[in-house]
Amino acid sequence: MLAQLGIEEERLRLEWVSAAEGDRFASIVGEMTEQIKGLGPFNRHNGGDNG
Amino acid sequence: MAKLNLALYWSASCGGCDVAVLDMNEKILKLAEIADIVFWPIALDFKRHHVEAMPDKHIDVCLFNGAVRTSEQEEMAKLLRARSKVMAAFGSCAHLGGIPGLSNFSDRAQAFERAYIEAESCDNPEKTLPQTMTNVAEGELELPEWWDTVKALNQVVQVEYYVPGCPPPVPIISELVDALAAGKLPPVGTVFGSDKALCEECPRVKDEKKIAQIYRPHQIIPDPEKCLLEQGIICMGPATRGGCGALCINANMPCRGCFGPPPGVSDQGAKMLSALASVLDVNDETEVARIIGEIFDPAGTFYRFGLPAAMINRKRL
Repeated sequence: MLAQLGIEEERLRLEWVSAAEGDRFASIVGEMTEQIKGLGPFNRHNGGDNG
Repeated sequence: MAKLNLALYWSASCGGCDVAVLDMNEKILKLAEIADIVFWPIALDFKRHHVEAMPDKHIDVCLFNGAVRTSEQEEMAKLLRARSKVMAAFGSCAHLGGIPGLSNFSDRAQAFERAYIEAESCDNPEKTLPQTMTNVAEGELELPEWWDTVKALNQVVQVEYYVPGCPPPVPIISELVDALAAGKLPPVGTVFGSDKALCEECPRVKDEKKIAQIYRPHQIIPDPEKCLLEQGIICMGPATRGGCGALCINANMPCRGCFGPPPGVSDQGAKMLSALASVLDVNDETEVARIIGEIFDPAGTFYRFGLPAAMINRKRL
């Protein structure tokens, strides 16, 4: 559905992490942060030059 | 009581909303008793200059159907807003963007390409596309400008009331006419219809919802007594405002969501996705992906009538 709306799939990730997996949680957050930084800001465009 | 001045207008729409007004049958006489129709282009010979000549707030109630997608439609919406005391978005397109709002999955260039060049019924070897200005021997011709984005009426002007539906069912229109006749309009911002989800008024038997396979309506003949969602057909009931009388459901077809989200739900598609995710009868992630992957045109299904009003209101360009 995101692809249909022109949003990169890399902007969404679903992972299950247990409360006991602190390291894993931290590494997933770190990875996701790097990935999003790589993609750059999400420019929401409400239409082109002609609205 | 003095008669009300009533205006009806259409913009990006199919004409079905105007027909729905006529579907009131004899009740339309009541409308004629309480109101003088001062503008209704589909039925009577009024022109834009007639509206321009009116003083501001001359129209008591304007029922505006259709989405807004061209410069002319925006001008008319603003003109009618200035001339009207009360502006009502009439039908799904004015309320939420409606079917024309699906055009927000593309932009003007793509829409023109499809409509004027690719379309199977189109014969246009010179690839002529509509232009805002065209010079011909007789002079310069002007067409309204087409935008990339379709908007709901309240994204262009202030709107007091919403009459949902594609088209609004007669009982809902009658509710509005009765309110006008009694001079008792509900609080500003009211969406006519029920304040509960359609499932609340659906007559079907609802058991435990557990589905392992999704079907499109033409792929199976559904049991007419049983909840359609339980049979694997995507029925928008859980994410849609009730009040229509479950017309589609009673014809053994799923709700497509034309009344928009129920109160308290800001994004109809997200709500439906959440409802669907909770009824899948699988635990394995790859199975979940397989079932969800089978949904044909998911964004178009979940936002069929309301993409312009959704949180993400168009495809990113």
